[in-house]
Amino acid sequence: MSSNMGGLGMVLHENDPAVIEACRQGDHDAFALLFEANRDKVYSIALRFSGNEASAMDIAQEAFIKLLAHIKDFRSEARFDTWLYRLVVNTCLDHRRRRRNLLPILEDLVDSVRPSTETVLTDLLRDEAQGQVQEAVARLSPEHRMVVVLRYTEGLSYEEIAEILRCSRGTVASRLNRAHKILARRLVKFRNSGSQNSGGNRGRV
Amino acid sequence: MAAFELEQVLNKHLGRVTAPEGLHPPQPSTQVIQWPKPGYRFQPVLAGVAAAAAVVVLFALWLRPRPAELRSTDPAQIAAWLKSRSFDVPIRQTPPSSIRLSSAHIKGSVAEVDYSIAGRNVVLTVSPPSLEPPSTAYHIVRSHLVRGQLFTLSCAFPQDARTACLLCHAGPEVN
Repeated sequence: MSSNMGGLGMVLHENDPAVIEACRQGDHDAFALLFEANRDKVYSIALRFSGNEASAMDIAQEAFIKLLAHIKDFRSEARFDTWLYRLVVNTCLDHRRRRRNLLPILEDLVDSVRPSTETVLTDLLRDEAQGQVQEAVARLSPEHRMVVVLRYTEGLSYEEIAEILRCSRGTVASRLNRAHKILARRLVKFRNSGSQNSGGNRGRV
Repeated sequence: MAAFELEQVLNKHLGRVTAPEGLHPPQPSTQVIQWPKPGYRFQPVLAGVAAAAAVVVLFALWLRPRPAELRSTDPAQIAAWLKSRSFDVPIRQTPPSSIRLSSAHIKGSVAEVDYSIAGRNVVLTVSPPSLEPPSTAYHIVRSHLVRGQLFTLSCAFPQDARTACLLCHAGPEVN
């Protein structure tokens, strides 16, 4: 993706330092470019973490509002991707914390009955297998869930995840190992189906 | 489930998705409201004026006339309390036994001493001579100027006029 931003008079690429700098200077075209470059990334993390589209939209919108408000605080010596990931992670955790503060009992109730509340429309729109995986991930603790999302949605290395979460590589490995064990139990029905179904499911989402 | 199988499943089902069209970039007007506002600048002169005004107001409040009261039956205590507030009232240390002090009040530049004679109320008012004698429902039995202060005696019953003077004066020579 590229854009020629009027005043700057040059071709710029997403997350390019020049785009970031233009955003810091209040260039709205540059911010639109940054938004387009990162909207799928931000929404995907939000969706995988929250487990539902409505919450994902809220989180993504809030993350971009924060980005707009705080991009002037971004220091160019840091990696923008890491800074953005951290902003999205914090927004996800804040969103969940607020929901739990507001409706702790209701949320537990919703968590416990979620499979039975699937609507026909949702069934039509979402692949059943994917829904089951998403459901299993959604029941992980926030710390374990975020590591799984960053690893499998974003394909980040242990080191990158550790930098984003400001923890050690060992902590990331430990959380991922624990999450794997829990998910392996919950997704036992997928045994030997990972490669068999891969062709049929690929590209559906 | 083996680890590699699980990783395959997660890679396949947790991948990125396309954000819905409804997700729009925030408008610049959606900026988070911050305080102080971005255009805010600390102005030492204005802050100094505000602080000085606050000091003046507090000083004026401190100086304003405050009603004060002392409830006591002790003549010496009442006399000392009035003297500490610039009212020189020569209350006798041992007035006649029929006189019973109850309290003293100060309202601005006026002091009042409440007492009773055999249960009947009497008020001694001490005020600057520039003020009119106090208006009261009592009978004003005496009002005279002593050392720049106007002393006014008011009795509920006229027959107490003579005895009322004995709060400060000794003997029958009063009048």
